[in-house]
Amino acid sequence: MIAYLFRRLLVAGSTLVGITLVTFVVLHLTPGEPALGLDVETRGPDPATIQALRTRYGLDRPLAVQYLDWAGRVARLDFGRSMVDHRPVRTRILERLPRTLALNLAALGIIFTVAIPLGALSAARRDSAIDRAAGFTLSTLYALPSFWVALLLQAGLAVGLGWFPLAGPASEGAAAWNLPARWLDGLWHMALPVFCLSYGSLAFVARFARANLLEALASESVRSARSRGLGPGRVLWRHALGQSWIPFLTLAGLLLPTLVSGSVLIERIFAWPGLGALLYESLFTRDYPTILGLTVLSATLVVAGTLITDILYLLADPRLRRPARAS
Amino acid sequence: MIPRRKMRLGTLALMVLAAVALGAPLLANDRPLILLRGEGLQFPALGEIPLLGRLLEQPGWSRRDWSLPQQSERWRLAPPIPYSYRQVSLADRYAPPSWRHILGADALGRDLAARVIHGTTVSLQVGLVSTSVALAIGVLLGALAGFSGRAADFVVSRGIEVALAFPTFFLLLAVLSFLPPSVPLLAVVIGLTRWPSLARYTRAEVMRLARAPLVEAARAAGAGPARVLFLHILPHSLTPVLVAATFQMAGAMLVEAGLSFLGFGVPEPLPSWGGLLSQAQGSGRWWLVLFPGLALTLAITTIQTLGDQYRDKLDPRLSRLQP
Amino acid sequence: MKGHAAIAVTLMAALAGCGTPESGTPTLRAYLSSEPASLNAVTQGDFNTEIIAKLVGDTLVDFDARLNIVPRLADSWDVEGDGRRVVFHLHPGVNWHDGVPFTADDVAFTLEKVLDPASLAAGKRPYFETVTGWQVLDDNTVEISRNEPYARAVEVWAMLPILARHVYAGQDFLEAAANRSPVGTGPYRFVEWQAGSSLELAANPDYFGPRPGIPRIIFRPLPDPATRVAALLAGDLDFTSLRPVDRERIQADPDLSRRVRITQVERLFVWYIAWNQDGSNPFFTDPRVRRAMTQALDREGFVRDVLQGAGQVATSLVHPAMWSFRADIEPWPFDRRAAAGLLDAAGWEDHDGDGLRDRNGTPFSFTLLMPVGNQELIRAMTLLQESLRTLGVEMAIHKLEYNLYRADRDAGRFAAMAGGWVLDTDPDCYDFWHSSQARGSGINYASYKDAEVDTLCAEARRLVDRDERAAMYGRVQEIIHRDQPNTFLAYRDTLLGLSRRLQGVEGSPRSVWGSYPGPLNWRLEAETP
Repeated sequence: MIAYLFRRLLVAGSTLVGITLVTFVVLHLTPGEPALGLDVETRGPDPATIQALRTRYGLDRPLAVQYLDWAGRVARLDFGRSMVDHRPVRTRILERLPRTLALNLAALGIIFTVAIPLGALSAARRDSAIDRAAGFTLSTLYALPSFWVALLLQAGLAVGLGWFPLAGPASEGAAAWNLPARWLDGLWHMALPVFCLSYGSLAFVARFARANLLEALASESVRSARSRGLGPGRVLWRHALGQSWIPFLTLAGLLLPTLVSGSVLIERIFAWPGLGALLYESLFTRDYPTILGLTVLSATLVVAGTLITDILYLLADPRLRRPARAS
Repeated sequence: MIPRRKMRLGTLALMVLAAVALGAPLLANDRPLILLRGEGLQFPALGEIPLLGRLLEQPGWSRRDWSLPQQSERWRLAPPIPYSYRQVSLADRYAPPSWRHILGADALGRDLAARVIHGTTVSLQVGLVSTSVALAIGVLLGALAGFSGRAADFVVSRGIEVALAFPTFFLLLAVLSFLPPSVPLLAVVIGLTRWPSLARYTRAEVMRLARAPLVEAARAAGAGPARVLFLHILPHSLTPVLVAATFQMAGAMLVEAGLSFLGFGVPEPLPSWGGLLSQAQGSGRWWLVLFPGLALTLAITTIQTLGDQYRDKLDPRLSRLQP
Repeated sequence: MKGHAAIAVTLMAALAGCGTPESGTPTLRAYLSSEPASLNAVTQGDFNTEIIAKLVGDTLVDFDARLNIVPRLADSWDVEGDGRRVVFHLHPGVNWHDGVPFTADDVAFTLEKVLDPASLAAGKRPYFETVTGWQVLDDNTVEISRNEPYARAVEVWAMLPILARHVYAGQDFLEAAANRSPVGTGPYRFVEWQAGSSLELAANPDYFGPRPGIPRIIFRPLPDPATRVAALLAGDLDFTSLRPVDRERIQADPDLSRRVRITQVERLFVWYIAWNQDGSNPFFTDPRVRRAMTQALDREGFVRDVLQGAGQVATSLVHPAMWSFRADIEPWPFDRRAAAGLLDAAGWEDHDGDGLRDRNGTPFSFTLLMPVGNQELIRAMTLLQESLRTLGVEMAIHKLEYNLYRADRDAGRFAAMAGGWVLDTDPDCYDFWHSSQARGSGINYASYKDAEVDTLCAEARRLVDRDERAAMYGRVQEIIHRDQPNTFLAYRDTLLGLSRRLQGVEGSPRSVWGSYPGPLNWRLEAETP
């Protein structure tokens, strides 16, 4: 087991290297120059300035050297400096990380607490009016583009009724308030963006839950539990849910990286200073260090997601420990 | 049991969608369906039908101004909506729905009904092509990873992780910087960013089923690995994969809508539903928001309903279950 | 309407146990279209940086709302040798916000930094490249010399906020703390910048110039134009630029028009299409073809219907608000028949009967390059595309993100290219039309070549006399109109939506913020209950 863990960690490390290598190469092969903070509707940078930038950030060295240098520094948690504002990439990311985490944690929380019970209910009352109504409502919700819903909500609930703030992460002057007030204010500002981030995934997770629970309900053990005269509620929660937690784990592993991957559209519309907008801007300005820093962050979560899922699988089902090829 | 009526309705809706997508040039076009000229009958609108139209198309048709009477024209039968999706008319700018423009007109006076109808072709193409790409790669790699032993699993799983962590939007930028934009290209790129989750679901399901008694039995009976995989494992593992795939198809259309909002949608002057919605932004004209939104919602809901039904039909165990 | 919000805010303030300390100070709520990377306008050339830098800092001279050059840090200046030598006499007794006296040496420091390629001052350096020396004559006098005459020797200082040498001493110029918490001499002091959330400025009570009418400004980064308009309507923002559709919507709704005032202001901005004449395509070397393109596009309709009158049909890179504008040149009218005739005359006829014009076997089919994200420009190009289609010319539209667009544009990798251009206050056309500035070496993107224009552009920038220059630039406009190296779509005006309480805003063709004393004359009126 220890040896297995060690091996998996080693693999995870090499995967990280692979991801950064691929991103690094694709990034540098894509045309475009690091932007120098100029509006596009004016003249572009002169050659001397471009050369100065390339020298400053070592872009004139061979790619392999650049990568090794970068990787070496990342190993010491130094992500270099942004080519746009010349601040450490780590500072730039940490500045935005809490806001992105807050938004995505809230969205994920809502998705799971609403969607799984709803999916379970749909599965238990399969083809009933509730099942159909839930399915229809959720798939209609899913079909609405988020930027469109966001703008409608802004027009209706923020501008029209004034119930929610229009945009931004905090009220004016909120920095001077005490902690509970700042928290409340933050939650209030999060309401609309969180809704826009979560409503679409509700349908997906609810259906996922419904499908897997239906399958579990059809399985031998559940049928035998049912035949033993257990109540439908007990059958559903104890036996069916208990059986289908492996697919749920896969799903959770897949969703882990979304914690740090913001949505450009929602962040733009609600002026939310998150990592999605940072990545988007960095791509356009070819801010290589920032793009790579963000890639390391999301890659770490991707790898961690797989790792954790695999380990839990292992604990759940010792048979999986055998090699997959059982001839 | 699945209600028969609902089943037919879903299938019917899909067939209508497909018919609109394929027959868009016959439903909304500035070209006449039938044109009687001195030298005989012509069918200009048929020339724009995907694939088959090539045979009927005549040189110069695509550049003609069909709203004017043609040379030696005697009689014409116009399509139900006598506008093409690209024809501009500033005089009709933001015309509200009326007999002239049944769904209204957009900022350049283009007929919205024509654009929504032709948008069906574009949006379904984006959805179908990208899902096919994602499904092909995802199921293949997922099955490979789940079934073909550790080495394959290792390679594929690392590949999935690389794909998941790579900034997907950047892939689009990178591809578009080398290739001219087109609907199929956009669809393929969207598909390329969406296979990892399908691969993961497939892998997990295949791994689970590879241990199932049924499969062990088949193996014991001497079935080869390919036979086991394709006959005994894949059909059963498709349950969650197909549910996910219907979402992928709908999701791809939404991705295209989002890209349109950011300016990276299908190239001008082709309409897509998402593109129509994002062009409607800030116009304050309800018809521009309502009709494309309705089309998008209806299509996505239809696809999802069908996905559900397909799953129910495919999985015999579920059919046996009495609610 | 806003009652609930007010209740919620009061609730929170009550929870916080105190009101906001500055709640009594009248505050202008302004926006930044994106968060600036730095507040150092020497290294950072974008519009948002410039807004802050010119409130916290000062330039030597500036433009008033009529585009006249007015004194700012410099009280007066002497120009000799057609701009070869300029002496600035600085305002005495000015202090930096940290109390250190401002001197001519700070001007020298700023100039050093602009000329040093390591400062990455790409936006500013081209205007100072011919500077060969500078001399601090005394604390309040500085002399700048150039190796050749330069008509704009004084006005280019309007784009350069002066930086303090002592603040940057011993620090890397690009990484200095002052780039995010600047120390200036300007009318506003920097208070606080909360990344992603807000940037606060407060009036400088010791300012040497006119007293700012608004005591406090809070900028919020609002990247989405629709969000900005919504914020204005919700009362969270005091002004923003509007799209034509927003104006229509607000004017149609009495409740909204009660809350928002709209003004239309000229702006030094033009939409254009450059036709590549470097010989890489067989179409656009012939001026008849370029004029056909211009006449195939319904520019009047574009201005009337798409811009809703927020602009006017353009003829060149000289804006009507500039002293050098030739008002007597009539733009080519929209005339598809004339366009067809010009194409025929140039040999582009449909020889093979496929509906597409061709010459020597080459069909008239080209791709137009444009940046993503601008609905107006896309609409104009769609109009052109559709008009050309029935004229037998095929135009594909290739939208690229800004970085790739700029790369292709600057290297001349296009047959046709559409874009917008922020015009300079001076008609200097050397960079735009001189043949030496073609293809990658300058901003003559269309690779236009004309001997007379070359001479005029090279000569007129070396003169200081306005009348002489006006005559020469008038002739350039005439030739450009004749040759149509670019099709100029429209000078695009700004539509400003202002809250009722914001008064005294006088638009300037450079931008709302871009005049002096401009923003210092704004005031906020107490809101009528």
